[in-house]
Amino acid sequence: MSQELPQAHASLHQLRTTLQSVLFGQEQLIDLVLTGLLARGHLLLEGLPGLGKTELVKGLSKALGLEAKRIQFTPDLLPGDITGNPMLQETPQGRRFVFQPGPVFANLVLADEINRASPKTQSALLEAMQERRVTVMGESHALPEPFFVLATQNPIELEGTYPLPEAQLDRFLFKLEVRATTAETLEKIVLNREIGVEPVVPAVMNAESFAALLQLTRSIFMPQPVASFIARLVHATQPGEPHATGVKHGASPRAALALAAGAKAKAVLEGRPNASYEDVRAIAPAVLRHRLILDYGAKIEGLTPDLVVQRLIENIPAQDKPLPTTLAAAKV
Amino acid sequence: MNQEEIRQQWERTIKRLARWVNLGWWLERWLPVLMFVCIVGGLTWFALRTLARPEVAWMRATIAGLVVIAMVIAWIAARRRFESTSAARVRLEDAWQLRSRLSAASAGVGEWPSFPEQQPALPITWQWQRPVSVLGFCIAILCLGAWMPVPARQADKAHVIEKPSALKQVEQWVEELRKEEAVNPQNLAEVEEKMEELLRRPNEQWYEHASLEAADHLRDQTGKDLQELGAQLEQTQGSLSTLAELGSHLSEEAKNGLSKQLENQLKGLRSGAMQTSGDLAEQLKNMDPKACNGMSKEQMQKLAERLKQNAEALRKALANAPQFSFKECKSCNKPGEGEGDKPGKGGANRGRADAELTVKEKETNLNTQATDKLASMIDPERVTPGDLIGLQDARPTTKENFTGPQSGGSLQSTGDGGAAVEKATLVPAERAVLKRFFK
Repeated sequence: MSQELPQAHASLHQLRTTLQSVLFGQEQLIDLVLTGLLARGHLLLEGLPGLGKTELVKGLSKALGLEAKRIQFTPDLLPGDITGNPMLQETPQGRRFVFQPGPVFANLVLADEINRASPKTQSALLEAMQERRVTVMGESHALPEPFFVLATQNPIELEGTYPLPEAQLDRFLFKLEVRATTAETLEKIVLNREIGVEPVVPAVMNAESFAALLQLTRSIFMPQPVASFIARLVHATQPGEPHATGVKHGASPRAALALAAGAKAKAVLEGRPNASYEDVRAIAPAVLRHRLILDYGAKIEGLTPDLVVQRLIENIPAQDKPLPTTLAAAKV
Repeated sequence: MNQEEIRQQWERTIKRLARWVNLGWWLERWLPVLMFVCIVGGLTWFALRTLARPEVAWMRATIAGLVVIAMVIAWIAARRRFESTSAARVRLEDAWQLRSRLSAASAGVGEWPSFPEQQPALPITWQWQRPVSVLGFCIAILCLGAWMPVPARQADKAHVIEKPSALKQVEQWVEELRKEEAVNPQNLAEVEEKMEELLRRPNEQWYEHASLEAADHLRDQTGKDLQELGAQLEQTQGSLSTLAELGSHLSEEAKNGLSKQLENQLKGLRSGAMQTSGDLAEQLKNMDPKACNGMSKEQMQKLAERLKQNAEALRKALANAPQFSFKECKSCNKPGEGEGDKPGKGGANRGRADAELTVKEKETNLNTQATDKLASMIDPERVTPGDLIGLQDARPTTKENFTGPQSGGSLQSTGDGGAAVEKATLVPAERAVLKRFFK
């Protein structure tokens, strides 16, 4: 690991630089997307149209050298349009149904505006995400490795959207919010981009080297105190806990696993052999914000999942053993 | 600096942090106990000084010992919450933002991070207000207990319980008697032993009813014994003097009677609860009471003189007890009391009793005004309803001339059932008014 980590760190740094040349002013978003991919998770990007979500995914597929496909979700999209359909074909043995794979059969699937499709179609994709295989007419078809879904959705307040159910949201490792860029970033975009001209993105690595990175991420050391911190953080989201005021449903154990995997990925991204409390704190909003369901009272008061997570991060210490009253903790 | 040196440096820092945290836990447990010890110790110290008890000399050592014991107890109680090095490591790496590299390195993953050249402060700050205020309070209360002025009246007043007055009186008698050598020292030792037995009881019980009663009894008994001794000494001396002076002039019968009396008195001297001291006691012991008649006049006078000296010594010793009169020896008068024409006390139902045929400075007290005391042990002045004073067998007295039931009066204005009955309850004036009305 001592030799692999510097190499991985260097190649990931290169990948990060490449993506930053595609998407200006979204360094944090790029870091989280890379973290999510290294953690083998599916990502949900939420933001208004035109903020570069699709551009980021396309640039990522090119940089990673992975096969990427895009599905534009619309209300009339059918499950078969995603998973693929059996087609009646003339063969030497006679007429028979032959499975025609849909766009989901790719390493990187961009599910654009996923909340515009009907729940039935959404669930078809989400089942593929969970099982990593597609079953049509009783026949299972494995999806390629690696398989990532990067879904984008418009804010649910917009018209013509079907919000994803909580159980399906839970299958996304991260929910990332794509925020509007600053004026300086806009100026940079205006100077370096033209409408209709896609930026040239060089391939930084191939599928094998990316698979090696995924393997390296799994081998990152998770210290017991960090695991304890993750457990306490997730447990603190449960209703009734002191810092979970306004929470109707807390995070599931899958959230704890997501935090652990994300912390390891963040460690690889920074070239460290171990996960840390800082990694957990950095990815906690992305992991927990779509897993916390607030009650109506909290919503009326303006409380958001992000505020709850921020409160948890501030109040759950890495060391849960209290100090005597004669001492006080001091940040150095 | 190699990895081992870096590891040692980190371990030292981690242990230092753990020690500070553990000191905090120990202080948290110790301060309340210390406060309790100091409050109790300070108040006790002050109280002992106020009461002028000798234990005050031990207070410093006692309080110091209790503080040390409190330290040990606090350490035992706080040990459960002591911070381990692994916990301190987590606290340190989180505060110094070391990204869990200390935990990973201690688990053998990765290298120890380089130790900063300028070591940052430990991630704890002391809250000195509470420990300092508690320690200040403790010192203040101990100082108050040790040096706060005690009222002079209370300080000078030693906490001494006086002996009961009866015992003090007996003690004084014994001292005087020993000084005058009036009584056999062995008898005095017995009295002292009884006194010591009473005084061996706790001081607080000296003034209980039972103790006081026992002391009074000892005093009364001792006084009675001394009184008897004195009376016997004087009477014996008087009899001897009479016999020596008038022996040749008395009739044989009177002489024999006087000799008999002298014999009884000598027996009484030898068998009394209190006896004479020194050579006189030896002489009386070796002397045959029946042989008194055969003593020469000089011998009798010499013995009488010695008895007189002893009686004088006894009187001198008991000069502070005027209630004792040696002439009131009742027991020595018992023989021959009221019998025939022998000397003694007379009585209505005992016939004639002449006065003693002895010549004394004062007249003989015949106790004609003496009254008998109640036999009961109950003090009649303190008797309460229900106390049994005495029992007596008795028969009910029956009326011999009983003639059966007799009528005890008669009814006036009897009437039949339902008939109106007129009751003549009017006074004469009212009757007169009625007569005038119906006339």
